[in-house]
Amino acid sequence: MITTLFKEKCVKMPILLIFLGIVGLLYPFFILASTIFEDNFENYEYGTLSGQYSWYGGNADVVSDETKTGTHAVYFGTYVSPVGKIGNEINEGLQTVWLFLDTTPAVDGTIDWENSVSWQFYLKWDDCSADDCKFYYYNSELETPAWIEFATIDTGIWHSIQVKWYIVGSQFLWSFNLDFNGWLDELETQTQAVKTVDRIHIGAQDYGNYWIDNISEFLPCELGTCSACSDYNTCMEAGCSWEWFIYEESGLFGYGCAEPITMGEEICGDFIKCQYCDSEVSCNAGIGCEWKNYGYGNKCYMLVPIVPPEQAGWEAPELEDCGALSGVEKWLCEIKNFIAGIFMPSKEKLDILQQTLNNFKFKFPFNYLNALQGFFSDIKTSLSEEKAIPIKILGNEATVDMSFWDFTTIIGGESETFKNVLKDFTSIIILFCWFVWLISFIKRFFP
Amino acid sequence: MSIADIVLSLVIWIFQKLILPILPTNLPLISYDTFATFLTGSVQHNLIYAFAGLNNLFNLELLFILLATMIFAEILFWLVRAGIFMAKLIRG
Repeated sequence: MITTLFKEKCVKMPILLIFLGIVGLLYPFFILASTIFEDNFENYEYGTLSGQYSWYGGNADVVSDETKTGTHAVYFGTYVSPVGKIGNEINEGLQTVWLFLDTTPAVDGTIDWENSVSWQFYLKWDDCSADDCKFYYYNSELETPAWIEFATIDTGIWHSIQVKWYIVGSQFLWSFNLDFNGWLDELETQTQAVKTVDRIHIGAQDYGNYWIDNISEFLPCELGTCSACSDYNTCMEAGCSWEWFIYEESGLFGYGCAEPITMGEEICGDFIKCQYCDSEVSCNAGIGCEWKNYGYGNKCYMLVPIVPPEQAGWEAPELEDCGALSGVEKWLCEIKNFIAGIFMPSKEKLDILQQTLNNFKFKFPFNYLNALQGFFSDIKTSLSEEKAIPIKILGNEATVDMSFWDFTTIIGGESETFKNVLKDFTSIIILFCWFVWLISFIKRFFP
Repeated sequence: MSIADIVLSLVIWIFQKLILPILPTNLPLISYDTFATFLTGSVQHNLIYAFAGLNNLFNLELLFILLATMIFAEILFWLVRAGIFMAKLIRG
């Protein structure tokens, strides 16, 4: 029988599910924005930037000749006035901008983040050559605020500039991270009274010959920005490398995503590089290489070193020179040489005998006995080292502190450590136990 | 060629033609490579890992030498008894 309660549940549950679905669809709209705006300029028309998508001022152009991604970027040529765009007004956020400096060389330029009242923090590049520019940040905390040189960045490649601003207590702070080298120590923003940022200005000085692209909150997790990948799965999917390294800024260390390591192409060379030689000429030109066919076609192999056979450490003594003697002495000398010559083995035969005896090392039981001998000698060597004894108490791991072993005492007039005394005592016990076994073993033969 | 060389040639011939060819390199059940790898790999590592810390308390070198002699003697003893038993079994 269907109860009233059951009917109520059948009606209420679908309504609840529909409501949750609507909330799920609208959820992104409830999230507060954490960056001013994002722009990759892909939907822009080539030409003047000002007037497109709320950009104003300046003399920047949307171009396609140099882009970070896609086919559109913004080029800053001759200075007229800064370009800017107003976005969301937020008091805590992050923004990333990509910068490309020409080798022409580039002329100095700035980026600053502002609110409706005043600018908050500045970055600039200046003193450019064909190879690089100097990168500066404006430090408002100094008694006399000034531009501080931070780094030298190369021309001809894209650089990432990440800035973040946030509130700590009553302070409104900011920091930046240039090319993933770590965040600068936090600085106070210019205007503490108004703790927000809502716009960006680019090019407040005599600018020229640089490009801007990909203004976004987060860096994409992809090759080229692998450090933006937060976990192992996304790092691997992007084709990056998950590595262990140290964050130099903070001193912390751990796993993180980094650009994949690319091995350079191997070049034909000597010894271990022989395998990369693909012709007989290049192979024979290498030291320690030979062009041979081991059943896989002609390839370049490292020369197998010829080990000289082991020789008997015996030299046949030279026979006595009897020429200087005469008479009986000479006769006795020659007899002695004759007998020696008959019974003296030659070095060549002894060498052959030595090699023959060495061949027994590779046959049973000698090879097995050698393996056992090597095993015991390795054990003996390894166990003679004193290693720590690990212990774990209530989840805490540590090693046993054996420092008391080194306390000394006088025994029989000699100074002995506690360790030696205890080891001697345990050795006696071990020998005693073995002796008991020996007696019982011998008794088996004399029941 | 001296007499010693002739004797040596004979000895070498016996070793090379009569003894070495019949000696096996590997045992039927456990090859030499398996035996050596097992010893130098897992057994050695496990022994060292398990007992190295006890070297502070015991003379492990002496202990293992004595243990090895005991094991070897026992194995030899039981092999001999097994051989005698098989001989009696065959003879009837």
